[in-house]
Amino acid sequence: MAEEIDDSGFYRQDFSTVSDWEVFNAQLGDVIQKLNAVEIDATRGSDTYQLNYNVHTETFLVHKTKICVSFYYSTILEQRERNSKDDNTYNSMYYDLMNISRTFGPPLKTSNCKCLHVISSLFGLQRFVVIHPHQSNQKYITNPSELCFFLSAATVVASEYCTVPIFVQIYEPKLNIFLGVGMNATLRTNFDIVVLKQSPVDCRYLSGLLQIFKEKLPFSNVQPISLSVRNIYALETIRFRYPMNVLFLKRFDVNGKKGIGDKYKSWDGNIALPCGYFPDSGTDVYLVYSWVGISEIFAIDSPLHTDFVPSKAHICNMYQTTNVDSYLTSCLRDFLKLDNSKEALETFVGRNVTDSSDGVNMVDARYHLTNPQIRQIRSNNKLNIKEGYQSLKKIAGPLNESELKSFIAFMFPDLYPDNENYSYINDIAARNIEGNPHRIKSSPFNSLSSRLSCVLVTCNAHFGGKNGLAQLWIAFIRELRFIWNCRLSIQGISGGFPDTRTCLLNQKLQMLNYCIERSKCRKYESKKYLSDIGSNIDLEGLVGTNFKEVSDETGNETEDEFFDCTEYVPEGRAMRLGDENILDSDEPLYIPITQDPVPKTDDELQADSEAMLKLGSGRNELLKHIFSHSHFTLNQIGFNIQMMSFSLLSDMEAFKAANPKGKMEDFIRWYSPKDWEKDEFGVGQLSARMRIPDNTWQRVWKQAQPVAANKQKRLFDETTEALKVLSYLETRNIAEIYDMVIITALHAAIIKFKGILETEKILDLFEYKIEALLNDLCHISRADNTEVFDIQQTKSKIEGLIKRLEEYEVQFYQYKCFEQLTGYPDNITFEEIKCKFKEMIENQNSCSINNAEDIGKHIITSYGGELHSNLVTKEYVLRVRANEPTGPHFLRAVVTGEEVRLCGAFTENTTLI
Amino acid sequence: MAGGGDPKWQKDAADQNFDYMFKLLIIGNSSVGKTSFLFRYADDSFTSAFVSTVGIDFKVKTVFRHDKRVKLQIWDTAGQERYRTITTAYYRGAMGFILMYDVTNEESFNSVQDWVTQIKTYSWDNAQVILVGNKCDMEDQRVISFERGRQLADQLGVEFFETSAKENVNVKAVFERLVDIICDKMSESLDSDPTLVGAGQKGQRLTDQPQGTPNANCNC
Repeated sequence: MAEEIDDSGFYRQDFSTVSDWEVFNAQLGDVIQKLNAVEIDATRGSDTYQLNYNVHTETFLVHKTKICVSFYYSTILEQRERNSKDDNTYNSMYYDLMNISRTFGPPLKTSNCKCLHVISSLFGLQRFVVIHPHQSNQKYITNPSELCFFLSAATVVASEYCTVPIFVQIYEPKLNIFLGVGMNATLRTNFDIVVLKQSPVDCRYLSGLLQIFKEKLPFSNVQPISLSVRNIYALETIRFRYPMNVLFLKRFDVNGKKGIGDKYKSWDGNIALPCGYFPDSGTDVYLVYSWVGISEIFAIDSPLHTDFVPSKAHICNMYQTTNVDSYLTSCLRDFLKLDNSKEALETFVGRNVTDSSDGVNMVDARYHLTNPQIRQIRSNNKLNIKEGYQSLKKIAGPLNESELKSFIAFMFPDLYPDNENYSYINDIAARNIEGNPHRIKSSPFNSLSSRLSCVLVTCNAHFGGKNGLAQLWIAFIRELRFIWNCRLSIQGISGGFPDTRTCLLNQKLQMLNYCIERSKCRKYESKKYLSDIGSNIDLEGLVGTNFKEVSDETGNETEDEFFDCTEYVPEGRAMRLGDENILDSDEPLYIPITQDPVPKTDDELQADSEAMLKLGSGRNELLKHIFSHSHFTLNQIGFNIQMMSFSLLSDMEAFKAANPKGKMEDFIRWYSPKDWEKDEFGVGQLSARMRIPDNTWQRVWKQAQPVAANKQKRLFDETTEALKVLSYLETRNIAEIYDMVIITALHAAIIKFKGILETEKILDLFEYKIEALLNDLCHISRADNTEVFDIQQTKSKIEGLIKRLEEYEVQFYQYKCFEQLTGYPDNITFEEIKCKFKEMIENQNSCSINNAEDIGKHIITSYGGELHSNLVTKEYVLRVRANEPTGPHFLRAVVTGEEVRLCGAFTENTTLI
Repeated sequence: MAGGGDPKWQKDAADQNFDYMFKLLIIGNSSVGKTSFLFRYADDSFTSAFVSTVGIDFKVKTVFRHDKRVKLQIWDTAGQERYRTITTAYYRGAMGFILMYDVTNEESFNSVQDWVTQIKTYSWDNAQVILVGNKCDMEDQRVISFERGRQLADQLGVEFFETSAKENVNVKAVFERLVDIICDKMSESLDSDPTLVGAGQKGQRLTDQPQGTPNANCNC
């Protein structure tokens, strides 16, 4: 091999006779030197198996094929302080080979220890170099001359730099066969792996292995042989039956035996997300018994008798591997896929399905309103009022009528009282504060918006995907329209202004509810309600309208008792302002009834502030314009500014109506008392800023006519606003629906899972993880998704969140399996099992089991008999710790059925050769 | 991220002339001097009588902080009770609050706690707050001592300054400190959230450079 001349021509040009081998030698030497520099930090040995290995790889072209040289080293610096005096002779290779605590690595291949190289687990090495063909090579090192080529180069380099052992991978990579060499100044250790597919029976037991080992030892050896054994048993797959369970949908309960689903239903809190696990889920359990560092003379292990049985073991470790899929997580994942679906609802359900276009109009609404039967029905909550009032036009979609109805009935229990009772609790807002300490911007717990969100997610996963979702969404809006038309008020949505601490969907529903309440109030307040309803307020006409005229007209109609009085009859008084009188008069000063402030949802507030920003600063200046040039159209000025100046105007007019003799000074005393300054003699006057000539306040005051709040043009028109909400919801596309729903759905999912843990009383094992999830969700929910960058970030954060939730769900499944395994509740206390399981999840799904403890006893007694037949793998490690001049010797045998893999590392003294 | 809500650092499409944008709010009782304070900072002007703010107003100022252009969008609110609903709607998305009282007015000081409650209710939970006692030039009419102000600030866990918009005492310092605190908070968030690091310009730390210590408490 060494004599071979590279006939590629490249090296010939300098007419030297450098061979491939020499070239490779030099390259390898360079790499090792370079890598040695890298590993300077890793000067301490690790006493346990660490899963973090770093790899540096360099690739060369040898014989026109790509060959890689990879340097593996453990990244963990261990406590064991290396003695600096040993520096010259110390070689971590010998230490690792002889290190008792590094005898057995992780027994199972899991995703966690993918990075653990097989050499590390076979020889316990923490630093080594592997020469192996590049992945792209289909050609492996199989022929002896190739092997010699690399191995001899390795030997030369190892003897020169004598730090780490160098291995050559031969045959197919999946066979994991390596030859290697490690050198020291005086010692040479040869690493060798042999696989016997059908081994002699003796070789599968200690008796035969000892014989092999002893034959390889030098005759001079007097050191005792240290023995370690590990037996791995596989138990039958354990399953925890928890079939899919969706609140109020019986369909899934058919196959599941009664029990598990119902158990969790009780506290479910009406979260309509599916839970449970796929039927093929399961956990595999391995019991690993080991005997470490015992002397060969104390144990018998032959085909006839063995001392290595579980009941005699010192240490047992239990390992769990999982193959678990949960419905909750997979349903969230399905929903996540909608985040970019720009399809309009019409794509799925066709045009003209909404009420806005099919004729339920104001006339019907009025009919509903005036029909006393409806109110009665509402209060009695008995009949299905839908019948007779609304002919349900079928909405195209995959949901059949009864499915659709059960969804709708779940969201509107008061409209469909026949069904199982899912009535809303009364105080949703208060519950929200106590139930949402993280201040996640989502829907209040168990509110309509929360139910809707969950139902949509479930529908998408199990009832026809986007089609089903669209169908349900439209059906939902149809119910809202019906509720609005009948002015019924929406159940499950807290009253009052839209709460900007909740999500947009909830705010929109709150807005609609507020509109309905206002509309109802107005009806009772004013007889002229019915002629008013539906007429849009002409905002354009607001400025410069003769308010007096309106006032007189309505006053004549409604306030008969003052019919004969002269103008400026005081009206709209709320209460007296303390015991204050109007200045220079004996008449009491009254606080007027004012118009309510205008409610806004997040998106409207956003639009308002954007409008203001566009206009530029100095709104006080702008106001001047509004009042001096009434031709300014309001749209040009921005609604928010109108709102502010008009609310001042409205308040001043209401004040004037309540206090016909009141002056601006009186108004200010009520409205902004700090601007009414009294001197030491008790004589008051307006503050300097209010006295600035022609300031906004004075101008608006001059403009204001005495008009009571209920006769003013409305600052807030509930009809317009309600229709705006409905049309907003109707015109969303799939991705926009996703945006409105996702946070609430995630929140509900976490809460649902938390509830399951609470039911099992193991929340304490997961509490900090659940807390972290909720905290992260809070941040996601408040993110400002105005840029592509933010949107992408949010998406990846949501994915991360779901992944973690899944991990915990799997752990819960593991817990239930663990319970079964340990024989709970008969043989073990609840606290013991929790404690063990905690160890398990904190320790990469493994825990130690002591045969003297309850769990250990239980396992031995209940599985002891069958364990023998479930022995998967036996491992034997034989060691001789010989000092110079012979060095250490090591043999590992891995017995799997008939196959035996022998891994030897035998040392010879090079000075004697 | 550490404290709820991503900072609003995206650029306005129309105005690319800054690296970060912070939304700040000035709140406090009526006539404690919020508008004067803002005008002093933004325009360096002072009039003894600004027209009482109706509803809400704002000014924009761009400052340099650690070599970054930070655009401040400062919202000035009406202090009157009647405007609470309108103004609290603007708390949303604010990254910093200047909570102001008048050292010559006991009532405005007593209301501080109420304002803090408002902030807690309506703002993001990582919003930064600075307590400011304004009109410290009017020593003869002072009713709230520096010490009382400082104690309250300690109790609330916020920083404290006494200022005078009229004499231009500490006005700039308050804004600079607030910007610094927000930057710190942002960097913390970036640190605690590895997904943000290395995300280009947006992920840069704002506090890489040493900061001046806040030395700005006016004890006059």
